[in-house]
Amino acid sequence: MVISRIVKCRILCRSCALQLFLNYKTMQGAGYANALLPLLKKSSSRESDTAKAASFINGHPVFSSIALGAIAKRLHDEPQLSHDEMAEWKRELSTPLGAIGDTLIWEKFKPLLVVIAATLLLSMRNATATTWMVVLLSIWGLYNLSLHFFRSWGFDRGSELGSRVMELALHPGLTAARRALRALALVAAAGLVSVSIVSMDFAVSNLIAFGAGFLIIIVSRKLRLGAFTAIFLALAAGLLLHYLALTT
Amino acid sequence: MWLAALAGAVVHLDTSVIGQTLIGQPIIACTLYGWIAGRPEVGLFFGILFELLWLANLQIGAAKFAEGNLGAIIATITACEVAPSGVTGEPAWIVLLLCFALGMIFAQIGREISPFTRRVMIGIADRFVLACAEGREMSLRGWTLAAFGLHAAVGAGFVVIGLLAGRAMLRLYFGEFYALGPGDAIVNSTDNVLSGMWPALLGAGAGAALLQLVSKRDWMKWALVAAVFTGGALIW
Repeated sequence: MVISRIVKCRILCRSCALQLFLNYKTMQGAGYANALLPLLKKSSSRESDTAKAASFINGHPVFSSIALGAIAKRLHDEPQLSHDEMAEWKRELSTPLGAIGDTLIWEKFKPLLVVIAATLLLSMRNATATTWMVVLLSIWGLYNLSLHFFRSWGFDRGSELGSRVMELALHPGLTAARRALRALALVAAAGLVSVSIVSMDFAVSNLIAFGAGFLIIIVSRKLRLGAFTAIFLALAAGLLLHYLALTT
Repeated sequence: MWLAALAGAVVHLDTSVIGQTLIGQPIIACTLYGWIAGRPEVGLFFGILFELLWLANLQIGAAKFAEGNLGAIIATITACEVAPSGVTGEPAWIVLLLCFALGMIFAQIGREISPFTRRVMIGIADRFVLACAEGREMSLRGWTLAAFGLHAAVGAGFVVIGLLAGRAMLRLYFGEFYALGPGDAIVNSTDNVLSGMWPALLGAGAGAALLQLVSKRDWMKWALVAAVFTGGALIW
C-alpha cells in the first residue's frame, strides 16, 4: 500500500486531535476515524471501513501514529477483514500502545523536559522575562520536534507492518531510549535540587523549609497520602519551620 | 476576563484534547500569561511550583485526574490582578499563598471535568462517526466543531468561575480595593511568616521530581550527583 506524502501529512496533522472525541464508549475510536478521514473518503466501502476505524481503541496519542499506519494498511490490504476481527486486534493493540507510550513519554520524557526547563529558569531568575520565554520556546520546540519525528517514523513503520505491528514493542530502540531517559532524568533531578539550593543563597531558614517540603513529599508517597494532602502538609511544615528558624 | 477565558480554553485543549504540545503545562502557560499580563515574576512563580508539584499527575486512559494545569492558570490570573506590595515592590506573600490555595482547590474540583466531557462526548462521537460513514461533509464539520466547542467552553468557563471565586476571596480578605494590593499593615504582619512558602513548595516540587524521574534503586546515585553539583556551585 502506498500512501502519498500529502495524505500522510494530513493524517498526522489530524492525529493531533485524536482525543477530541475521547469518550467512555470507544475512547479514541472516533478520533481514529477523524484522523483517517483522508483515506476513508477514498474508500470504496466507506461505511464498513469507518465502523472498523472507529471501534474501541485507547493508546498514547503519540504512539497512536503507529496504530494509524497499521490500521490504514489493514483497511486497504484486507477488505475481507470483519468488524469484529478488527475490533479484537485493536483492543490487543491498545495495551502495548498505552503502556509503552505512557511510561516513555508521560512518565519520563515530558517530566524530564519540564524539570530541565524549571532548572534553567531557576538558574536565571535575574534574567529578563524575554530570556525566560526563549528558554521555554526552545524546550517546547525540542519536545514537539522530537515527537513529530517519532509520529512520522511510527506511521511509516505501522503502514509497513500492518497486522504485525506489535513486533515494534520489541524494538531495540525502546531499551536504548529507556536507558538514556533514566540517566538524563537522574542528572536533571539532581540539577534541580542543586540549583534550588543555590538559588536560596544557602540561607538556613530557607534550606530548612526546602528540606521539610522535600522530605514530606517523599514520606507522604510512602504513606500513600493524596497529592493534595501532601502538598498542604509540606507547605504548613515548611512555613512553620521557616518562621521558627527566622525568629530563633 | 476574555484573556482569562482564552487562556483557560487553550490550557484545557492542550492538556488532554488537541496537540498536547506543552503549551498547557503550567511552566509555559503561567509564564506566558504573566509575560502577557506584564507580571512575568508572578507567572514564573506559579509556573515552576505547579509544574513540579503536579509532575506525577498523569492524564492516562480513563483515569480521573486533578486539573492541575487549569488550577495553575487560575492562580496566576488571579494573582496578576492584584498590584504588587507597596512595601516590598514584589507581590505580597499573602496574595501568592491565597492564590496558590485557590489553584489547588480548583485543581481538585476539576477532577470532575473529564468524566463530564467524556460522557457528553459519547453522543457527539456517535453522530460524528455516523456522518463520516454516510459521507455527510457539513455534518462532519458541525460535529467536529461541537466537540471542539464543548472542550473550549468547559476550559474557559472553569477558569472564569475560578477567577470570579478568586476575586471574591481576595475582596473578602483585603476589602473593596483589593486590586490596589494589600495594605502596608497586612504586608508587614504576614510577609515574615509566609516568606517560607517558596522554599517549602520548591522543596516539595523537587521531591515530586525525584519520585517521578528517579527509581528507588538510583537514589544513591542521585544523591551523589546532587552533592557534586551543589559542591561545585558552592566552590564556583
